[in-house]
Amino acid sequence: MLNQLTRPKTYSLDENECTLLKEVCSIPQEESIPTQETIVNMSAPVAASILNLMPTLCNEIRSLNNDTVSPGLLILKNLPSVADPRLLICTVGSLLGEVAKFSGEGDYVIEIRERETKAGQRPSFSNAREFFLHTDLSYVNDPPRFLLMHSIFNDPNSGGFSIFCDIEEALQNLSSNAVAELQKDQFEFPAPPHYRGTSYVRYPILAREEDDAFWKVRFRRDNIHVLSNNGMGALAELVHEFRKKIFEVTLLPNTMAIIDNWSFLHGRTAFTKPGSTNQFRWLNRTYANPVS
Amino acid sequence: MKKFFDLSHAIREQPNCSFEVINKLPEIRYLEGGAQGSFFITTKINNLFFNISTHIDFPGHLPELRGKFSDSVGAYAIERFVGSVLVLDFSSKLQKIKSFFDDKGKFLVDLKDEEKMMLFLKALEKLEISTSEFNEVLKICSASLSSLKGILLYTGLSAYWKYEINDAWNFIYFFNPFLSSEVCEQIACYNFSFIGVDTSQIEHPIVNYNGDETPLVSNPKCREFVIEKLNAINGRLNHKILLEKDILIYENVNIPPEVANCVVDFSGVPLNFQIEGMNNNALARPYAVLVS
Repeated sequence: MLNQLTRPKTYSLDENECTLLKEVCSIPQEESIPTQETIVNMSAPVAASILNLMPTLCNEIRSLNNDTVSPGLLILKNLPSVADPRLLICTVGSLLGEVAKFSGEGDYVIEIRERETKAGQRPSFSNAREFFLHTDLSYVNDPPRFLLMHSIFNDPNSGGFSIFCDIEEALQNLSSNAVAELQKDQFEFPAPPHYRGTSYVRYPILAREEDDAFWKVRFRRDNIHVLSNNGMGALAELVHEFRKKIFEVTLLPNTMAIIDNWSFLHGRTAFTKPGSTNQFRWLNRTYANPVS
Repeated sequence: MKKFFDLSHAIREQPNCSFEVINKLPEIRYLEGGAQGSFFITTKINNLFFNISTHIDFPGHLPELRGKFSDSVGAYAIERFVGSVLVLDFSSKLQKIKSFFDDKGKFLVDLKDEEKMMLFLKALEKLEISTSEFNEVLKICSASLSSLKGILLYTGLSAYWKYEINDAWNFIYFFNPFLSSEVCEQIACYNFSFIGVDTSQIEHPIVNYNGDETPLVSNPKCREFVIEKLNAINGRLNHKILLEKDILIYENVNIPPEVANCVVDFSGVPLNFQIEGMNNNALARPYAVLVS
């Protein structure tokens, strides 16, 4: 729910950067559409090629991949329109490390857009429902570090506002009892129907190793099973804190959100079809992991 | 002459009458009841939720009251659920919003028609049962409140119960007449053991919208209106006023018109679960006996 609006860190590409990025992310016209594997293979050299061409932009993106400064969220604005936007998102992903695919989840680049929305259906990448705060792939053992969402079409008059919350901010006023409960291995994260892997995993919601500078979070508001009543109380407290710290951003077309999936929660409001077009909100999504 | 009324909605292997996105379908498995010679059959139910169909809310339903009263529903004395009950008739309230729905209870307003949506949202205010309206109906019934175990509120919504999931904004059953917080505070002084409603919940139905649902995201004025309303309600939930006095709440009670404005003998005992932490909800099959 909209409670407060804060401005996340943003980077707006200048005209030169926009033109250059458009050039390097334009795929030569061929008879067949390149496979996702091909696109991902193309993206690493493209990313390497722009390091010197666009140092400010690249440094801004790569600064997210730093364990000693506050982790977070970066919004890129004024991205170029390209014929096949998959190369653009994979190139940005390659600047952060390796573009990742999860077996059982789908391909490298997934289109987040409405196929069909039915009453009683859980929110997902393929419907238009309100999607409560969550981290992506909470139901796999090793969720990806970075989540990238590239807005291809989004009419702000039709909803589909993105919501975000920084776990560090949410924990500021959480009781020590709740923090202790949330670190226990007592939360089950069931997988959604489309996932073809393990049916659920059990993990803490919060984790922090001795040498970690920041908390790691695993969360899915609408689908966590708790093994103890005290854990349930802690979860309720956490959700209450989320409500106070949540903020809303409209990802307009040619905008990309780069999210540290271990420390930032995201979600969206519901959306409808714009009156003047036949197109629903459409974001491309991919994951990236730092190269160890 | 005695007439018995079953006040419950049956639990079936079908969707509950709700708008929830959580799968609450009971999953039935038949098993051999034991393996010591003779073959006996028993049933196991997976995915059985305790807040479906006709059920009781206990204080543990609210996170802040989890540890304040009994630690299980079975720890409540059986007499808490049995005794004389007055059924108060507030069915006229529903007339205030009926023009927004068809005969089957489906919402008639175009979700993108902001003006009409706003009219509807404002009409919901008329569902509130004020102190004067409540006392007027009490007066008509002229019952001795001190002899009552509790009260039931008859709104006529039981007639719309069906085994189907609908969106929160799309079905009349989710737009219930509700007690003002002043009336709840008045009830909290009566030493009742419980109250019951023939609706899915006892709050202002605007809480179902949650601020970000489909009819609101494309209607900014409606969204603003709902957010302001939710902020005003927050902290003054009827659930809290009643449950913090350990007044239990029966929801989705199937109340027939024949018992409206009558005193009936009531019984609605939950199963005797004495498992620590199971102090939030209980399924029940309440019934009433009308003596004429």
